[in-house]
Amino acid sequence: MDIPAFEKLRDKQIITDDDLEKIKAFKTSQPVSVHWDLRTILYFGIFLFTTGTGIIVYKNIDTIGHDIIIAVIALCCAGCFFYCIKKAKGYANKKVQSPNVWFDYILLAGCLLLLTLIGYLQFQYNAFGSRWGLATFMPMVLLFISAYYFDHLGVLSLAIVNLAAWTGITVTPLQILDENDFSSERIILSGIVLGAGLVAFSLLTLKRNLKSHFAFTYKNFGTHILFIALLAALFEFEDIYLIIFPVFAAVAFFFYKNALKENSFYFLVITLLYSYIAVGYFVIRLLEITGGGMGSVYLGLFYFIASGIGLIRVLMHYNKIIKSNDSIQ
Amino acid sequence: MTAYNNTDLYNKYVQEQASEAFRNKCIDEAVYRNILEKHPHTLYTPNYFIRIGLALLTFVAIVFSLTLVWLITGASSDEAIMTLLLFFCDSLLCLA
Repeated sequence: MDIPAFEKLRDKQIITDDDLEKIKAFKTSQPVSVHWDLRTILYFGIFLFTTGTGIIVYKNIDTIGHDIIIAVIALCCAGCFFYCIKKAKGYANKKVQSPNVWFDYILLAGCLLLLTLIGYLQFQYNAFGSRWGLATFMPMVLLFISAYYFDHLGVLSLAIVNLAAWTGITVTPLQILDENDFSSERIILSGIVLGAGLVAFSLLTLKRNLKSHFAFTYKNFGTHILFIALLAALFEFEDIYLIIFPVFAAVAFFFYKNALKENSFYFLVITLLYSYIAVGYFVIRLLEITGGGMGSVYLGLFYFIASGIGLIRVLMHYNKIIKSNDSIQ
Repeated sequence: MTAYNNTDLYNKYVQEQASEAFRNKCIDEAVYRNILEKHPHTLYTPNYFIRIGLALLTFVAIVFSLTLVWLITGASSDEAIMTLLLFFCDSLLCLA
């Protein structure tokens, strides 16, 4: 806080001498916070450590030997989980504070090492055979249990990514995966179901007050997966795009109302941007139907310029509305 | 040349300082509201996500405007295309 600025306010009698003394006392008593700097460095350190482990394993796989590498990874992983179980405060429906500063990082390291271990076992020893679904299902379950028991948002994000991988692998025939054909209708439909499921689960989490601080993570993943899957459906299923477009509009309307209700800038912006892409595609299809040619190209260009400027005005308008609903409390 | 009004900039700075003091419970709500009322500013400071959205949409509008101008003028020589690109870069600088 800038003391001379407050001294000026005191001279104008906007604040009292007592207020100024409080501000001065607060400023002198507060040490410079390096909390977030240290946390960022620690998180970065964990990611570098686990990445480095992977690179060392890859480069020395012929000289060290598989058994030793697996044993070391398993030992480190077990050590991390042993520490976390010993220090954990136990499961609770509400948010549980970490017992100490190191806890979150050791848990994250343990979970990342667990993923490396399972991947290694499957790649080298084919531990799960050709049941790739099981190879992703196992770590997913362990990650979800860890996220809920130890109350860790980072591990929850890993678990949701694993859930998406498991869903994709389970619904897709192996042949399609081998051919890297990701435009398969099964993948798109599973994306829609997964996205909608995650959003519904976030609402349920809030309603039942079951780790309600996890709701944003579920909703964030769910919203992006659902919108991307619906856009893929719109582009891929060309014959029925007139049916998919109203579905997209209904989903976008739901998120729009929800964003306004929660005063969320983030969800409002992503809803408007995804909708802008969908409407743009719809307009191009309409221009194509009308015959194409240079006239349609000019119309399309005018549409994108006008709609871009129009949406800018809309964003500015909603910025004002949401800001006016802000509270100083 | 000054880009922004000095009073607006000063009032915005005072509002930010007062917000920090209020968050840290150094001043009460009545004093905080009084500071906000006596230091109004008209600077447009949207939320960060709105800023990202505005930047993306401005980029879309500029790119399509450039394409439209290029089609209308039918510029085909190197100099003409270079002039159009300079205009485009200038617009991007304004955006930044």
